[in-house]
Amino acid sequence: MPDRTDSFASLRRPAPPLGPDPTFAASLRRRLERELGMTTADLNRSDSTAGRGGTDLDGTLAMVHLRVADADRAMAFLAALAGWEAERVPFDDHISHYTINTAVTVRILDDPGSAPVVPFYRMTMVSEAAAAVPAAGGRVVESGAEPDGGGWARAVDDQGLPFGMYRPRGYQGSAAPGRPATGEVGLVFMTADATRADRFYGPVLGWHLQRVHPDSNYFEAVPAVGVFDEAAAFGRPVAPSLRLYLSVPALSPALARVSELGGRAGEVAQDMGPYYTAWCSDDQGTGFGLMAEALQ
Amino acid sequence: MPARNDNTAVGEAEDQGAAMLSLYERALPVVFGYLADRCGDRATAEDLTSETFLAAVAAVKAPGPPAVSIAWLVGVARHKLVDHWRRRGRHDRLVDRAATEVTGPEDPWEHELDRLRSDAVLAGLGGHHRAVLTLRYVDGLPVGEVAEVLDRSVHATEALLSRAKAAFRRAYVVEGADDA
Repeated sequence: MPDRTDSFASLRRPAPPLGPDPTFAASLRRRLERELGMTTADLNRSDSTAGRGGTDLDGTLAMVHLRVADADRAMAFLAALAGWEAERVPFDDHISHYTINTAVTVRILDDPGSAPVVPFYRMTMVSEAAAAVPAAGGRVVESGAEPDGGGWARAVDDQGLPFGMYRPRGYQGSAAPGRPATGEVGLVFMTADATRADRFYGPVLGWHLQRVHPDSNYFEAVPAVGVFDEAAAFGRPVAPSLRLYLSVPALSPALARVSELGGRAGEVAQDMGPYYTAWCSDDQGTGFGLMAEALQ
Repeated sequence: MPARNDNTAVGEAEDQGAAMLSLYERALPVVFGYLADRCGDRATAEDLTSETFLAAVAAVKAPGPPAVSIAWLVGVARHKLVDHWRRRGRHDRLVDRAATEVTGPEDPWEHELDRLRSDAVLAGLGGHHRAVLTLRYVDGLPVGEVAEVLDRSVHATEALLSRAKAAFRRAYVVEGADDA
């Protein structure tokens, strides 16, 4: 061990687990599969070891719904801020924009009946995961489960937080993206009782919350999803909530852009590991966070 | 999902491919988190993460494969990081030599280090200095293990450590003066 009287000893720090960009993770996995010379049969057998006939990607973040006042206006703001491109889909009672150039799809919708932020997770056997929801203390709100166990379901967990699950089907209907995004979904930040979250999402989505540091009340769930037990951290009751953070290359230019676009740029903080963060709102008052490893 | 056991080693599994992919899912955040934290650059961390897992695949395909586990992968990641810093800093030998010329006897330095300033100083050091300080102090490895990762003798590692500390201290003071 380093000499305790040595100032250099204070440099010691653990490296908390950190999920990489989901696109990178999936790409590297495919590369490993090729390098391992795995056949489709091998992969099916491998996937079957993940339980309920699912894959190791089950339970990971696939889409986030972001409720806004006016979806077209919000999309214009986010396109200018983060370089997002999207497919516009008119519904009977609202408009949705589905991003097409981000690793995690963001659905920007002006449906007043939606919750402000709703994460959707990949799940091969949606019907079985949905069946686990009530047993874990949650409630299935709506279900489009299909005979083969796929489809989708919307639910709330045992702390009242909304979430959804679906089996991705390789939708190819949208136009090819014209440019890469400059901002991605960085984090779905869940403020909740971590013990209860672990107990609920374990059997439903297969999560196993990982405390990032022995002294921390922040837990990583899956890449780009974390649980902060704020009540445990500060010793007072805190209402469960979900917040969406976008990761950008550098925080200061992004904050300047937020202001230029008529939004509100929040104060810079450094309270999330290596990230500089700021809580902002767009020109309609929709709240979102920005996070970056660099200020400039 | 199956119960996650981080001690499960690929080398012990019947189906190495499936076991490797299962380990990949469990180990990816740990390996990437280590590399991203130590090098401070996600793009580099992704490259080194890829190199780490590809090295693991090569190892399990070779005759007499090792027992690949998360700890084994972090060890490989550590080597990849050091190799990266070596590749990046070809002028390090000059830096080492310059540092040797001005390094006097060690005196106690009981300065309270600022985390951000320390990170900036480490990032600005030559590759060898950054590597030895990171392994010894940030990772907390004993000198013997640092020597193994750097492929140097313990004596040479201690000498490098001494020069690296001197370089860090000088840069730390300069960085502080710049901030003032």
